[in-house]
Amino acid sequence: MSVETTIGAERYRLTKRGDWWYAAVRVGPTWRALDERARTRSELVDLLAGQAAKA
Amino acid sequence: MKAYHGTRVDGVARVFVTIDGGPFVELEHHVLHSPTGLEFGYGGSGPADLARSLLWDFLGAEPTREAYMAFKAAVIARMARAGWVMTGSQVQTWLDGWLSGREGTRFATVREQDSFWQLDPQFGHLHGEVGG
Repeated sequence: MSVETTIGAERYRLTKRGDWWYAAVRVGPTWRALDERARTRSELVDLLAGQAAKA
Repeated sequence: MKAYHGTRVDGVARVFVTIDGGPFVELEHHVLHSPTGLEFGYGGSGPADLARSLLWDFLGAEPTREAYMAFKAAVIARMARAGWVMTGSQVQTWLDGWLSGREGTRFATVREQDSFWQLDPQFGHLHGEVGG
């Protein structure tokens, strides 16, 4: 199960596999996996938003 | 379920992907370290490209260098040189173990910082000022 969302200026794909949600970010024509995961979709969005704010 | 099959054809390493017992499709080689092909059973450029290409296929996204290099060292380099089979759930298990280890390191760092702040006398002094 995957959903796409925009956080800041970046486009993310959030994927649920098993008990965890994983993220990939759009870079040009491809997706780049991030070494992050969270138990819920909202926690993952929160985590990514925090990283985007720091960048 | 997805499964990866590594084999040798005339001595050349080949890796195939199958889903739920369906047809075997050759794993796409995302060339970066080894233009001459994929390899397994030792640590090198061919195994690095296999680690990267296999994780890329599994994730549907380009893996980070840190992730695929760790995958190469822990899994690809240790595979039997004659051939092997790896299921998608085995890839996921390795990935979760690796991410868990990274998260443990990150949390340990936070705990060390917490201890530092608790022990910092200046923090106590400032806290006393604000509280008083």
